[in-house]
Amino acid sequence: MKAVAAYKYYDAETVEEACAVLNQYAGKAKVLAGGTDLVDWMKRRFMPTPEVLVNIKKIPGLSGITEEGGALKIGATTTLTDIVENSTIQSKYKSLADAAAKGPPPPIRNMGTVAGNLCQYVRCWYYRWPDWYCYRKGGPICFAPGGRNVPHAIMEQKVCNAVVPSDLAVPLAAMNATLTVQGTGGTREVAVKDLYVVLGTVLKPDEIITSVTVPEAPTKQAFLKSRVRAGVDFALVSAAAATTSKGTTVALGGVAPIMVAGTPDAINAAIDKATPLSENRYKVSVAKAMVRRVTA
Amino acid sequence: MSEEKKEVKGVSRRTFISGTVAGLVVGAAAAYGATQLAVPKPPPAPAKEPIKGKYISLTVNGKPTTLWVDARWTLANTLRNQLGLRGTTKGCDYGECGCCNVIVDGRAVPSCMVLAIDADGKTVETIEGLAKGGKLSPLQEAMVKHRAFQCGFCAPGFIMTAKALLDKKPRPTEDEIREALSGNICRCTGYHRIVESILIATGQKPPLERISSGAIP
Ligand SMILES: Cc1cc2nc3c(=O)[nH]c(=O)nc-3n(C[C@H](O)[C@H](O)[C@H](O)COP(=O)(O)OP(=O)(O)OC[C@H]3O[C@@H](n4cnc5c(N)ncnc54)[C@H](O)[C@@H]3O)c2cc1C
Ligand code: SF4
Ligand code: FES
Ligand code: FES
Repeated sequence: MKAVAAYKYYDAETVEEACAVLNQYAGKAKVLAGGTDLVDWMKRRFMPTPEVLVNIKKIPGLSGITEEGGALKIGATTTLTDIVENSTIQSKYKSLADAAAKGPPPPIRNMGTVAGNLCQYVRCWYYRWPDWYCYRKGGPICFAPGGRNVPHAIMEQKVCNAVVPSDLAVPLAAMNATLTVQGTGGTREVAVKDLYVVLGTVLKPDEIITSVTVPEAPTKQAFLKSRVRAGVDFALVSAAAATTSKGTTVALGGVAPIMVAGTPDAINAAIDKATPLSENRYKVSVAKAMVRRVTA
Repeated sequence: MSEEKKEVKGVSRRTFISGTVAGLVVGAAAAYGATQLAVPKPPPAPAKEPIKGKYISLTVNGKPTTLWVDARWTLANTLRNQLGLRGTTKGCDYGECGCCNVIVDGRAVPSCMVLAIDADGKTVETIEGLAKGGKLSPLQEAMVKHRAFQCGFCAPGFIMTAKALLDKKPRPTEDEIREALSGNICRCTGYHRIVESILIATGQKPPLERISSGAIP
């Protein structure tokens, strides 16, 4: 076995308890949901192992899919398999079911959760390798522009060129979904579109996502994903479009370290102004074609 | 780590063969229990403090089992090193290859990504539990008869993933089989025979009839 450094484990029974433990260990404790990303991290050791893992899977009421007054509410620890197999999501929120089905392979879907998928760490190969002390790890440099950067970002690169790896974030952003986030200081709402910032997420160390809410079922929607090996690979480019009472929103995945979402015209304009790196100019034309196809 | 040392031994050819061949062909159900290794002593853990490990109770292949596990141990390592169930193989250890798939509460999961401490109270099925009374299950029977595997290292993962599918859907289509197995990697066979064996095991005809027509012996 890859040697995992010592850590302790905490079985939370309520969200408050989990937040309190996260707060107590200020940044050195991590939420453990399905573990498909966290266990990988601890085995590869590309970042220091957390001191405490707070298991939130046993908290009652944190998983499940419900429809309340036209809005869809998905609990944070709902697995991706539950999303793929849910009949409401399959009929009314098809793009979300598609994104989950085109995400990780079925065994990972059986474990991976919605919130974990949104919060997973970037898949930049320099980041995921312990010896590369890059900007996102607190180091002095980003290795992507001068190195291999086929899967990296083509826009919105501030300091880091890694892309948001989550497939679910794309249709959720297009459908204007919001996250309910609870911390020791109380509860707040964060739009999925605004979850990602330059080097991570807007979540504070003591905060937990408790649910995802899609405000209304879109009248028209689509999700597309391009990847090398169908079945396991992350998106090179993915796109989702959703038409609701507020108009049509398009979201792009695999192109930037933050979520790119807006009206079709704004997205097309953003693609025209893209700043691809040495090896990923192809993403510009793929993104253009995908926007055309999801809005068709 | 004592666990690491054991793992180094575990890669020897003898245990490799005993793990895969016994798991696939005879089923090591009889060996289970006899090979149970010493369980480490639990350190004292105060209630509701973060813990380093704990006693977990789980049902493995229908047998209730209680053992102490370190918080760091994965289910794959615990099955192999603590319970002596070497049929579950480990390829990548990162959830990418599907070799280590076992069925937990009715769903196939990569046991290398499951923390053993998370499996408390769960029902686990491994390759050793398939053969009943020394007789292979129909799925294994078909796999052996139609030579689905070559080296056999990936077999336990493929078979358990397929079993989870068949438990839910006794007659899956070829597409459904391929989708369910999309997280499993086999370096030898090219997948067709595995899929065709599953079709045959469920009483269906493989589309190309390569195996059943004898075109490929
Ligand atoms: C082989 C393989 C292929 C994959 N392919 C894809 C793919 O194509 N597309 C895709 O989108 N994903 C893919 N994934 C990633 C997979 O979807 C994620 O690993 C999974 O969804 C993470 O969920 P989890 O519950 O296991 O998260 P965990 O590993 O438990 O957690 C991940 C992170 O999220 C944090 N977290 C978890 N829950 C919460 C919460 N409620 N509040 C705050 N923070 C939280 C954790 O602290 C941790 O930092 C793949 C993974 C593997 C192993
Ligand atoms: S793209 Fe981001 S994660 Fe990758 S090397 Fe650069 S700074 Fe690090
Ligand atoms: S060893 Fe677990 S998936 Fe490869
Ligand atoms: S038979 Fe050798 S890896 Fe599948």
